[in-house]
Amino acid sequence: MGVVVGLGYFLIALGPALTIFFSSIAPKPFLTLTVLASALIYLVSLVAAAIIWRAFLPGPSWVFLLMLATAVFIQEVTRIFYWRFFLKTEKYLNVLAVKLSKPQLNFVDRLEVSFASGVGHGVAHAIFFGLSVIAPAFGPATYYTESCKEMPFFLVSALLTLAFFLLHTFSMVIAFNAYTHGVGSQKLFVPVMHLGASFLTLINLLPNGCIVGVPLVFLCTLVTMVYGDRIVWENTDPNFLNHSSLQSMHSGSSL
Amino acid sequence: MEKGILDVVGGEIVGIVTPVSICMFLVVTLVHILDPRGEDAPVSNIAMMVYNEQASDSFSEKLGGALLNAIVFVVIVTLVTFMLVALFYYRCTRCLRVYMGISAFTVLAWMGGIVAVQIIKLYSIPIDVITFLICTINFASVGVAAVFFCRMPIMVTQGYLIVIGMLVAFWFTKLPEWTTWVLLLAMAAYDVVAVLTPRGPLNLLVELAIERDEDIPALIYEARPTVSGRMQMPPSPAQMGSDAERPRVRRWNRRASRSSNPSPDTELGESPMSSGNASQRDSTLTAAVDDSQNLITGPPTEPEVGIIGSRLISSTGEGGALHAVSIILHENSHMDDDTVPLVQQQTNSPSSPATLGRSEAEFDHRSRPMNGATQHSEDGDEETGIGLSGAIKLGLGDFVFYSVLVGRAAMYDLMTVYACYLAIVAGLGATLILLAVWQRALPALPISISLGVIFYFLARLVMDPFVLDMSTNLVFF
Repeated sequence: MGVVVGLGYFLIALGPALTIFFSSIAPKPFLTLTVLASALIYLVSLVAAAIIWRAFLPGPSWVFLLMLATAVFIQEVTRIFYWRFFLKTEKYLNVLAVKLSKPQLNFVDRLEVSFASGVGHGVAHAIFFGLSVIAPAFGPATYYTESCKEMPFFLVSALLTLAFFLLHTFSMVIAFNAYTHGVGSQKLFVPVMHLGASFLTLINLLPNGCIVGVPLVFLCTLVTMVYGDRIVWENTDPNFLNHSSLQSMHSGSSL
Repeated sequence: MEKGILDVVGGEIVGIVTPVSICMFLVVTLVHILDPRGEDAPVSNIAMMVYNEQASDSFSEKLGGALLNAIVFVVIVTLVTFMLVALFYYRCTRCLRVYMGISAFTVLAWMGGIVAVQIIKLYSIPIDVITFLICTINFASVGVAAVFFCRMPIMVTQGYLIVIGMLVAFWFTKLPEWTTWVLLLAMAAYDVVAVLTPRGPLNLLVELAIERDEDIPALIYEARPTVSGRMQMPPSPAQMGSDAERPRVRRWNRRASRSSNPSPDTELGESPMSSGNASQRDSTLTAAVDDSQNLITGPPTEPEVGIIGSRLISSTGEGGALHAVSIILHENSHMDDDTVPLVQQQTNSPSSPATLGRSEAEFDHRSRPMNGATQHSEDGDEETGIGLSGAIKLGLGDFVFYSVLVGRAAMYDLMTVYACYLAIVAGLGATLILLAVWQRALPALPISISLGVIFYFLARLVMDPFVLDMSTNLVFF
């Protein structure tokens, strides 16, 4: 159906990503580097998961359950390592800031870095899962799968990519906040939501499953976004700053 | 609101990663449009003169043939590089200059013309021969002028450098698959040897350039040139119809090289670092003065500046290329009251001396005493390049090889492209960090190429089936 439709699918999947990138991330070069670094880490986690499961592919459908569980687990572990890495980097940046007589990193910077990391994860996910499949859409035809006869496969794929991009982005914000303040339930929120969203995509395997699956995934994304939003407001609310959480932030609490 | 640290850090690195990314993106687009499966019959190439790969050959034949090709290529490149060093040594600037101009013109006009013709055929663009010829020749002439001879707006020069890199890289993606991979690995190995061994041609060239305080003659992409004097990148190589040139240049740290020859630091009883400072200070001061004069007066008074020799030239297109990474600190910004603007204070822990030095070079002396006790040298991130006030230079040959790798990955799938892209950028970041730590000319190829090749094969063999299996079933995670 041509370049127009292909471009349309691309924008559905990555339009918000491009907007976010050019408005918030591009002006600050450090955040661009953060996007690249977190994309690389996502890639490494994906390769690790793939190495484990390569021998078992292609397999029966129930294998997907196990695959998803292990893959999500690997990714969450990677997120923890990424957090530790961020702490080290932050110390280093603070030293540099002192030398250059600039203010040290504060909570807004931390939010920005977590946001950029989330975007890195999300964009990497979008490209590996979504865009590589969209490439044929630029050609003259379209494609419908067996289990999803209502919408073109590319459209469903683009929508899911969008949902997961937003999910990853805000998960990182929530995760960083959770590790900063050491709130147990918040720490669990991200892995649970991630696992939930990926299991929900399994519904797509059933006939006509995508009618139910895709909106549910969007629901997960919406919940994550609202929660992330609440966290940002909490962090920037003046009343909140007076609480002791400020000290815990500066001490760089870890897991 | 006052600018925080996040606004400042990493600007130079992004300034180098962006053109590399643009070049790679253009090559991937060209490959995708013109030759998505790599089925074009490879034009005979110097890189294929020993063995012409056929799809029907056996595994060992292909591998052996590819190795032979790569070895022959590397040998030719080495010879030509030595020839260039000799020319540079004997100051044959005239012939080098002419040669480089011709080769750049050939790349832009001939290869650019071929690519343009293919695109015209593909999209049935109505254009007649005369217009096309005029446009191509104009384009090529402006390109040669922008890169070598005249001072033009920086965007024009950078744009033309990227175009040259893109055309050469696209040409190289026409090589057969096995030969491409083995050649990339061979060039990475050659790069390490040529730059790091004392007798390597690139090392010799850099030392010659430093001694004479001249610009390295080659096609160099400079991320943020400040003075026109430096804009004259001597050029590069090439030509010859059948093959492409790969102008590559190396980045080198002038300052560090100067200060690497000071008298042994036995005077002061303190740590070797601090004692080295005294001599370093003198040498760097002279260097600063020299450089500043260089910068201020610009090229007209120094005919040799910027056009010395054509480094990377080879009849086959390879020419010695300097692949090292260097950072030239710009004195301009510190001209005001800092008398010793670019001293590298390495008084502290060896942990991250280079970064300390750089950041001080960036601003004030006040920060010197604060050299930190608490450095974490291994916070390797691309941020270590931060304190730099100078532009980072990357040789065009590095652009070309990165793009060749990514272009070849594009012939398989978009996923491999992205994996290789991330690997190459990570390698580039790691090289920059090493540069900050080691303070000497470094080859920019090996880390990136090896990471890129590893990730390509991982992505193709392991990740691709895994991810495609899931995404075609609309199962994401």
